[in-house]
Amino acid sequence: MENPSYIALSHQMALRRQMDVIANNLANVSTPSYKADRIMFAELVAGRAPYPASGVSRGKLSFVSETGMLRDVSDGTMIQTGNSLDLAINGAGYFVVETPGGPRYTRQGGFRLDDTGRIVTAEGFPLLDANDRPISVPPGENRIEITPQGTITTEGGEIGRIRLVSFENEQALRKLGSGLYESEMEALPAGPGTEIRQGMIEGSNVKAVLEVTSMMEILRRYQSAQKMLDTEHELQRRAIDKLARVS
Amino acid sequence: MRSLSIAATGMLAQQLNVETISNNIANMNTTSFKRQRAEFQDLLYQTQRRAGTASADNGAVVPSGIQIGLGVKAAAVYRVTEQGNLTTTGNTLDLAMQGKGFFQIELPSGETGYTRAGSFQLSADGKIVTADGYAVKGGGTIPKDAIDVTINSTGEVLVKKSGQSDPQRVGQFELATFANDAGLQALGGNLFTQTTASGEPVTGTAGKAGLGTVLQGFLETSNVNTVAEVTNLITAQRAYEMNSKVIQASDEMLGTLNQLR
Repeated sequence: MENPSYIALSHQMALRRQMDVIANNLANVSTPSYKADRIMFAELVAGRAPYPASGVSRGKLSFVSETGMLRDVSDGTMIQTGNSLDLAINGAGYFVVETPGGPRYTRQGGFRLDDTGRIVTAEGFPLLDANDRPISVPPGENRIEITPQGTITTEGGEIGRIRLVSFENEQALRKLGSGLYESEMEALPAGPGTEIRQGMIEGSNVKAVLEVTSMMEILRRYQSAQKMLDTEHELQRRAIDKLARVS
Repeated sequence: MRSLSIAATGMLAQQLNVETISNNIANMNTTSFKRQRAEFQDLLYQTQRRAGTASADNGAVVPSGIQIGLGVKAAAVYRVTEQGNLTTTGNTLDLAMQGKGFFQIELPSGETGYTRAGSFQLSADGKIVTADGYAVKGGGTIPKDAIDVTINSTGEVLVKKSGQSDPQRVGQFELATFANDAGLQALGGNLFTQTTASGEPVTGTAGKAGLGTVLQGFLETSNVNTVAEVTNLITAQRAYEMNSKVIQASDEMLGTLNQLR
């Protein structure tokens, strides 16, 4: 008898989860290289026992359940900054940075120099070169040029080559926050189509219009599920009323 | 509801963004001002369903789990130390730095301040000082009977007295560079001090390895690009509005819940 309520409830819970994901996408609308998340839902079918007397089927119930997330891995818009250590990746690929927990992957290319001249992220994690070593800019050299393939040169010549990696299944990378990803998969060298753009930053790939419209849709769906709950409630109230009068 | 607090982090971030932009625009005419940029990063993620866990006994695994992000945070307000334009003033003690480097300033506290704003003046006792009256290191003392002061590209202060044919050297500016200019702490009044993030100063004279040259009669303008700032301002305002819409929608969802009889 309460099944309609439970089904509407599973719908509402799913919608709230979806709202959380949209809120996070919109909060990160100006986070460099942020990739929009999308939550996926599936039908969760529960069978019911047939009527005991006749053996006639009572049909099945469908609940909503979330199955996974899908990350939009398309490139964000390129924003020109003119800063020589702002690097954007064009195409599929990640920078490798050294963290206390091991190597992590990022596309957030707003790098800077630390007090020892190493190229680091905003959090101070060093960027790794092709030999998995941090890259240092010798003191006094400030004309940093980076080729699309990642070779860094200054006045004194070449100082290193940035390691760019890609993965067989990008969706399986886990977000750690701060623009970092972790993975148990083997990092493969990035394909030839992946290039570094110096003086640019990759913007967030959140499509604000899309998010706002799906937010409105969620709100209305939530309200219609509520309507269903109300109707069901009214039905039960009347049933109790009538049954009580008979006896 | 998580979406309420997530949208709140978004609004806070955009507020910081607008504050940074407004400071940039306010300083568009400040000598040698370096524009700042607020940088954001995504916050922590809550894992609801872990990718790679078994979903059935036959070895099937969850291909992509469920991770719900908790919003956005400001990672840094980064100073873009790009060279500003040079504007001619014709003033003897207006010095612009072309390239890397800072003038060293003796602060009243005894510490050393660093500046690129070379709009200097003369004090009563002939010292080259900033607009606040702090002496510039290496400027020497200009004699009272000097008729001409020349500062060459290496920062040497040359003085010509009446009746003399050759200018005399009374001082030479000692400049400083840092491994990480962006790590300097701004003190206001166009001054900076060193921090652990900036590294120790490397001092030297202008024109030497890695240091810029000094240009007399010029000033370095701010490197604020007003067109870029105004477009950033528009984007920030819209992003703020969108986040407030999320709060409205979440609130309405909660309101619906409250109508449950």
